[in-house]
Amino acid sequence: MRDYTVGGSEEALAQANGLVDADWYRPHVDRSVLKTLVTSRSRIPVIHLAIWVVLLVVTGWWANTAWGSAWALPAFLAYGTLYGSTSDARWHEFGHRTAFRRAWTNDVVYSVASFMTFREPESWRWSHARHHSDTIVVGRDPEIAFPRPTSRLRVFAEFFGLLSARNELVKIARNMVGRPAAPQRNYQPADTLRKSQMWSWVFFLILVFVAVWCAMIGSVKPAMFIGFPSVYGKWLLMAYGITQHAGLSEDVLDHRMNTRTVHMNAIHRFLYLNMNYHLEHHIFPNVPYDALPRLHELVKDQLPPAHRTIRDAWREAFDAMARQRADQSYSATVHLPRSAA
Amino acid sequence: MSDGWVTVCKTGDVGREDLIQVEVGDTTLIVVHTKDGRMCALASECTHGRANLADGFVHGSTIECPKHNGRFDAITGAPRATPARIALEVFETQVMGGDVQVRLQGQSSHGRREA
Repeated sequence: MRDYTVGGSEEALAQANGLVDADWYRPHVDRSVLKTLVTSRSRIPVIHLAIWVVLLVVTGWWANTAWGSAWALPAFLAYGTLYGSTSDARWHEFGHRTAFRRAWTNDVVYSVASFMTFREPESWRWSHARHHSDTIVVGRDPEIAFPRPTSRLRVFAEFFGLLSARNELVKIARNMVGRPAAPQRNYQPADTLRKSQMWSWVFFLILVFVAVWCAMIGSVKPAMFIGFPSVYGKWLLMAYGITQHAGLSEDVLDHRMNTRTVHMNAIHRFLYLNMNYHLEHHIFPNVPYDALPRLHELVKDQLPPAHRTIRDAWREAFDAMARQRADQSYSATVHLPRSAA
Repeated sequence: MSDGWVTVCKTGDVGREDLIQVEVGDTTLIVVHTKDGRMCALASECTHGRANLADGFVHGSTIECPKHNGRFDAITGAPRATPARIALEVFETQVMGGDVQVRLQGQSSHGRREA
């Protein structure tokens, strides 16, 4: 089994193989067209953010009023999914600062969404930058969700965010006392670790506040609204997340070999902020999410065919992960277009 | 060329809120045309990751890196958003009769890459 630890034994191999901070394949797109996609800012992100906040408030109100009745189950399912799963797409898009024009406005949403998806914002900013530099490069990418062999138990546990929540709790605890683990120090500049420490304390104090609130009223209800949804509401994020890279190649310098684009309906694309165009996003991370469908149309002839449905992508990913349990060198086959291979 | 000034392009070669890559000897630069009409020349390599800013984008007077979305001030080279944290090297620039001219002696001591 390979060592997936960032900065572990595989890092030197990645370095020797020219996989670190390397040049990646880019399809041809006319620069003037690409510039238009990147620099034109529409009102769509503002409208989408407003709708999302309204949905959170409405489902939160529903969950509050349904507390104690059978309606609480669907109400918390809706609220928790919006909170625990769809906050990830906001965390991601606003983390790239591509939704709004001003950096600070993106950063405000990023910080709130970071808490909702339970990711300490400073370390994850650097983690995600590394993920874009060295996508699915073993020993370098901190965001390889499915190290080979991927056990069924791991996949199941992640549908409830259990492993990621546990890992984040450990990270936050270490940051609070100023002792981040070696992988975090590998991808995060030393002089930003103080920010991670500050954010870790903020997260901790919010969770303590919620815990005290629960204790005072003798009910878990406050935690069902703040904190726990990061775990019980994670299932949809996992359902979407599996489509991104699972089962595809490691250690390549062509995102077409390790990243999928999947067609989704309008509701999923709203919840996921068009991250189903994940291949296009990785190749052109400056393009705002609302412009990704147009980018897809421009470059699709140079990319592998997009998966038709979420189920189609799952089938490929789960099949590949099953095969990898027996043969860790196996990767799902990608058919590159002849003209762009 | 005089007093170290080198003509690198015509003003019309760089659209408003855009940039191009130019070569001066062995040095690769980007020439940025800001929204308010200023011409600036800076080092082309991002100080964060190994990325060519010539593939990047200009928003007003801010350069956005194509790889990690780090941002730099086109006029001062100062980092404006992480993961950019180290300033880009900025070169003296002047416009003479429609020519964009650059003097390679850097104005700033910035420009090293992150380890």
